[in-house]
Amino acid sequence: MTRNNRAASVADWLGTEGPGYPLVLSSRARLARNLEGVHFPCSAGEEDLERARGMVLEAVSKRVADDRDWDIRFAEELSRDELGMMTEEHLTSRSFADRMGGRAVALSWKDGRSVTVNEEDHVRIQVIMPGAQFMEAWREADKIDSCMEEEVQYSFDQELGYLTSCPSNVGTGLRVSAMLHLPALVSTGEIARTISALGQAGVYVRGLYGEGSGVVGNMFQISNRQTLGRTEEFIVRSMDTVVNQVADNERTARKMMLRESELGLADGVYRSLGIVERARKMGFFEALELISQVKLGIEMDLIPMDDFSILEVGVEVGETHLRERLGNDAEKEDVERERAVHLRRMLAL
Amino acid sequence: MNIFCDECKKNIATVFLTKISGTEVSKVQLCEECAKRMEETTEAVNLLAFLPQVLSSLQGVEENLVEDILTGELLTCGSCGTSFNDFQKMGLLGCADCYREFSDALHRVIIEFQESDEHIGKIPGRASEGARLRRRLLDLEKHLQQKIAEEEYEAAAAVRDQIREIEVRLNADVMESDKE
Ligand SMILES: [Zn+2]
Ligand SMILES: [Zn+2]
Repeated sequence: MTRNNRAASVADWLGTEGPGYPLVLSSRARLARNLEGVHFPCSAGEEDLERARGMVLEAVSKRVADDRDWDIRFAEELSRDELGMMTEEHLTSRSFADRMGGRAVALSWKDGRSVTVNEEDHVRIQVIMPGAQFMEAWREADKIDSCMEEEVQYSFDQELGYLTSCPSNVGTGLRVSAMLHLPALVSTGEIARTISALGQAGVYVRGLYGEGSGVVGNMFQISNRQTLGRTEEFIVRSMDTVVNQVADNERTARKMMLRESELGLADGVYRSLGIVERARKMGFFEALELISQVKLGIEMDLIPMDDFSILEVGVEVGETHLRERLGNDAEKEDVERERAVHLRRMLAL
Repeated sequence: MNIFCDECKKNIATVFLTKISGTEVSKVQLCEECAKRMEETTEAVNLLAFLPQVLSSLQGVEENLVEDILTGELLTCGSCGTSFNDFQKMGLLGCADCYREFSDALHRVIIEFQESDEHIGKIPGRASEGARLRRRLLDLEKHLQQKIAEEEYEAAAAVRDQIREIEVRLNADVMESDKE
């Protein structure tokens, strides 16, 4: 399967609604594993990296990839654009795009499952699902893990559990994250209190994209901090509880905004819509802010427009995705112009 | 207004982030390069933020160890050549043996960050029988405390027997592996 076959649509899960929509955009479970007897990727020589890749990919093809269409890609064989697109679609982390030797990814485009080889750890199993489906995402990742384990021997310590190259992942190697859209918490300033409460609960918060006076597009990614001394179920269930709490806070903040100044709120979202309708060129971060505001307007029944997927549109206005539409010789200005045009197209304006 | 990157203080900042460390919410501005590096090693960076305070808390406790760590000279993993100094800079260990080679210093880092030093999650199917037994032992010990708290002494005695049995098997395992 070549990249072009699917150029028209981004990763399928991005456009799907899940439980907790529209506040919880997606759930992700990630397991970090290393092969026994092989140095971790950061200190491994080329030969070791190749060997690790061979072992992991063999396990994937034998045990995991037999059910649906999985695609195996070697980082060094992918073009910059292909790597960039995968990063923008959240399929691989940004460091994957460095094209270091021995890196590879096996992915199942349809359902957001992937196994990345030789990033920070030899094996990173990742499952992304739309909405709040942490338990489902973890179970799926765990299943892949158990299947792979029939083929390879993981580095495991009786006391510390699965050994990872960064001790912040040691133990279960499990990081569960949620992507949330929280425009009302940001504009009421309540987000600071939410974030500090989350910090105390052992949860990381960070923006999905950053800029200006804070997080851009009001999109936050929250994940568990601790991976050791807790069972996987506990980690997953805690994340579920925390995310529900944050989503509740956002709902409350929205009601408060409506109560305190419906006119002010409507004015804000319509001003954003006005820019989207009229702009001739647009930066990426600016686009994300506008998308967030228009989306809020739609969700609060202030703007009578068809709903859209904020993640999907966010990916579509990304640098690499626009460049693919324009061709490689596009100037920065061409990209910005196309972003304004394409955003209208995506929102059917 | 400062227009330079908070990290390298050299390039002009183009990426602005809200940074959350603990309960502190602060703004950081970075250049493209530094932002990219942060993104790559987010988890490592989160850990690195902990390191200085953990290491300074070692002071006075084991002075030799602290000196070793600070000079970074003596603590080097015999298997992969990664030094503790490298770990302090990158937040990454070089191999599984690093966990053993740096265990004293690393233990504190792990406790500080993870608030635990005992894995109670999944165990690979092929892991030694010992791992499974240890986990079972842990469960039983909790169970025992609970039974004692509930004043169910008969049940507690039964649990204690199970614990002994497992301890015997574990000791046998140790002797077995000592012979090898
Ligand atoms: Zn910089
Ligand atoms: Zn080592």
